[in-house]
Amino acid sequence: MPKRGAPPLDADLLQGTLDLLILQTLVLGPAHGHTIAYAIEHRSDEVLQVEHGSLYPALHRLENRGWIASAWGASENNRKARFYRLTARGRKQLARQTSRWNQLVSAVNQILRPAEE
Amino acid sequence: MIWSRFFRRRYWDEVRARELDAYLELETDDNIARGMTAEGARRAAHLKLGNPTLVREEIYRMNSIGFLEVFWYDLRFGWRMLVKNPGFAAIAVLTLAVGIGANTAIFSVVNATLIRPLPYPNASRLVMVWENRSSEKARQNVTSPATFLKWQEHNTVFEGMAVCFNDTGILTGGGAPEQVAIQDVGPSLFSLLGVNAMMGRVFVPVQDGVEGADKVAILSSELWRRRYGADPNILGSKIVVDDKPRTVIGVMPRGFQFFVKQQSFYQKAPEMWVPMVLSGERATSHGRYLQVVGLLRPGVTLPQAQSAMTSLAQRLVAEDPASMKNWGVNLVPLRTQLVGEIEPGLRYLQAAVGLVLLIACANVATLFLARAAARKHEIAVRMAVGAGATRVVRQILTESCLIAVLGGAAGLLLAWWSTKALLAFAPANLIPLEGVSMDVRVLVFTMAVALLTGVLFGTAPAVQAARTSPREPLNEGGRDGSGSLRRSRARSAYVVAEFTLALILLAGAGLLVRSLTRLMAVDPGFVPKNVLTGSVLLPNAKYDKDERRGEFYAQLLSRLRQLQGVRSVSADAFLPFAGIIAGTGVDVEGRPPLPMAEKPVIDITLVEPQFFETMGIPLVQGRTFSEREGVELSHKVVISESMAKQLWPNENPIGRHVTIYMKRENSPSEVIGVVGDVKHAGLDAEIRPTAYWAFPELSFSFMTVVVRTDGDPLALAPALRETVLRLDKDQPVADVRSMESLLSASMARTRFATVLMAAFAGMALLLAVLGIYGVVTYIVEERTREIGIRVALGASYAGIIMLLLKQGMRLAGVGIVIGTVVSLGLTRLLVNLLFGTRATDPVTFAGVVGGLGGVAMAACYLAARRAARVEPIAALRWE
Repeated sequence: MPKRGAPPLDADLLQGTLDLLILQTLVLGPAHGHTIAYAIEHRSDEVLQVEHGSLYPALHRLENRGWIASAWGASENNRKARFYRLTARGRKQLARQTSRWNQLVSAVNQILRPAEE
Repeated sequence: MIWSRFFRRRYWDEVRARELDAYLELETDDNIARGMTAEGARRAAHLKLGNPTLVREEIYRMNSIGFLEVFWYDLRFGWRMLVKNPGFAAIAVLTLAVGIGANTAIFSVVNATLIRPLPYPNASRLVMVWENRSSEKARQNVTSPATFLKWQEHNTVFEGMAVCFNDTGILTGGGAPEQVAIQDVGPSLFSLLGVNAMMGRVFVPVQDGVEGADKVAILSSELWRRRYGADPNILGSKIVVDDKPRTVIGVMPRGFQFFVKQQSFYQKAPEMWVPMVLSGERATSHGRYLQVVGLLRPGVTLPQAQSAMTSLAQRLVAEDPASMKNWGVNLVPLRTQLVGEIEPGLRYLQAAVGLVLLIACANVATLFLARAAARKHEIAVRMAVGAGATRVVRQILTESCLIAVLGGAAGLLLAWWSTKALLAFAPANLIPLEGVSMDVRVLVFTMAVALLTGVLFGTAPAVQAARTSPREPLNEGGRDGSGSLRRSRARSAYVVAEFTLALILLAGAGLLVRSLTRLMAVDPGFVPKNVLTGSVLLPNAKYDKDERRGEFYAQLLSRLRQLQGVRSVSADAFLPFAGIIAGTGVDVEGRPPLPMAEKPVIDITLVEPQFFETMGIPLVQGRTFSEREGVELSHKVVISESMAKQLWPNENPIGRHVTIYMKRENSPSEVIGVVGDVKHAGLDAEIRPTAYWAFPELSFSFMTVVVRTDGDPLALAPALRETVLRLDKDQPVADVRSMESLLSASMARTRFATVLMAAFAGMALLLAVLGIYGVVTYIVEERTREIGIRVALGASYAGIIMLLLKQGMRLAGVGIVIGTVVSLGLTRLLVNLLFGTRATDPVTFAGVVGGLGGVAMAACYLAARRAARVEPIAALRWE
């Protein structure tokens, strides 16, 4: 497995952020687990490295909450795969979580900046 | 939502499993496309994904409700363990059920009778006022109208007083004639009790308590429903009581009753109330027949009232020594009056059943402790392979709960059933049955105690086991450390306690059984088999002349004699075992007449010819009444042996004369015969000197017909009723029953107590035996290795069994000794129920101690015998 840049983050830390990332990924359109895993890995510049298996419980949790829905479909190379799509409630949730995330980031940044100077 | 997930967790598991497979295929495809070999591609895909089983488990857990899942699993495991070990389960469940069930039933009855408040608002201030003799302080004698009026006028402690007399009357008109229990009451009775009518009104002294007032009556709710079909227009209508019309002015609430029984097995609760006016001729100082109830003034205590009434009584003696000499006053709180008779017995029963609960709890605790010890190894193994301590304890807890719940359910069932059985079986006048039902609070309490015991003792050892390092018991390999010594001490204490309690109960039961056998062996003085009895009360209005009454009874008897299956027929005014008899003073001819208060007192009744032959009372001397003496006044008397002995100790009484004071004008009667003594007031009562007059002497309006039959006496009951109705279509026969049933009713209380105690003692015995068997079995198991070594070294099996026997019997012995000491003190409570048996009867105690010891020995031996099956090699190899 490739290891560049910063060391991978601890999976536990990602519990909440992983949900956010999945929802964000699905904004672009329905996708199956394999695609979502790679999308997150690539788009985070491979900082966020987890075993792809740990994605599935998160998907299950989101589906339980009704933020995403899933159905069987055919993959690009004609394999059977389960496709996830964002529901209306998921979209609202994404908006809410994104703004909260931004607030958190800016708050943390404000605290961290003086120490760096 | 959470539930639908829970029940669809298998479906989702499948979906996710397939999804993970899909991922692996996609990734493998990609890897091959990147140029890996097929095998390398698959391996890399697996690495990328991680452990699919863990993922699935995580998702599965997400769907399941954690504790429920584990609980369900534990429950199934627990159930399998129980099924595998049915003996343990059965004993534990049964023990709990018995403890819960018996306790709830008995406590329900005790609560309803002893603790429940009396249904009168003024109950706490109500007191029965009896007369007593200075020689018998506790005596409860009815009083005379004159005395009552003086009490009422001069007392300083009562807000009010009322009289009451339990009478019988005949209701005619509208349906079959019926004999009903009527209470003649002072008009202020209802307001003293503080109760009002359900419909209409109760008596008002100024209106109903004056001479010449309208004839009125109040009905019980039961009579109103039964005879008048709950007629809403009953108020103001006329009913016919003893051939005289009365106006119904009220109906009492359902269940209302003010009924103080006096030495009667069969007296019935009143169903109608009529006002009693004590003035003019009725205010006599002779004839004591009134019960008196008083309402204490607020703030007056019982001792204050007693001393005030005693000094009033002393003044009355000074005023009228002839009829008041030696008479005092005895105040009894109404509650004590109503429950006093049965209280000690019920208390003993309550104690007994409490002990059974204790034994049951002790047994369940022992069972669980022994089981936990046996499973110490299993727990250690489970912990060694990775089970968490909480998980292990939780599993044992679930098992304990399972047993506790099963036991609780069985207990509930048993409680419900045995409360019903108890009520069905209890003699009708022992317990006020109305309103007694399974007491839910008691049930909850008992269940909580029993279940808590189960859960506590089931789980505590598991907690202990889970705390110790699993290596310890595994290393020990069956050898036991100090922990087990502590446990074995606890077990020993249980066994000792069990035997103590069992002995106490057995002693009580033994005494009662012995007393009952003695009671049943008592000769009543007549032959009760095949005798039918029925009471015929003639209304005074219609049968106003002595001759008319005599004629009616004579005709009735002669018609009955002609019936098929009848051997002989007669009648008695006060039938033995029916409760009451008249008593009076006598003077013997040729001796100076004594003042009334010093005359010898005898019982007196009135009989028809052939009475002694019909009842099977033996004639000792002289003759009995002739047919002619049955219809004509002859001044002859037949006396009992004890009367002959009392009045003429060393003389022949035949032909002597005695004056029996029952009338205004009394003339001497000639003794013509002496008959055997009869136990008139019950098998356990003392024999009293009794005189029998022929019917014309007093010509009572009430007689009880006795019919000796060839076969089943009750088969003749319809014929008896029909014969009476043919003579007079308005004349009822009441209380038709066999003499044997009267006899057995008189013993019902004793029999009831005996059977109950025997049942409890049986339970206690069973529990104690199971307890000691379990302990010795456990000792054998624990010491298998030691026994093996001993045998290998040459010890004989007999010697080893002896050793174990000694160990078990030492525990039983200590329990038996403590139990004997305790019960010698406790059985005093039973004195009221015992007949001809002392509360410390040595034979009973010896028997109980010997019996319990023997049973303990047998149980120990059976358990110890297992030691003989220990193969020395197997025992040593056991590790």
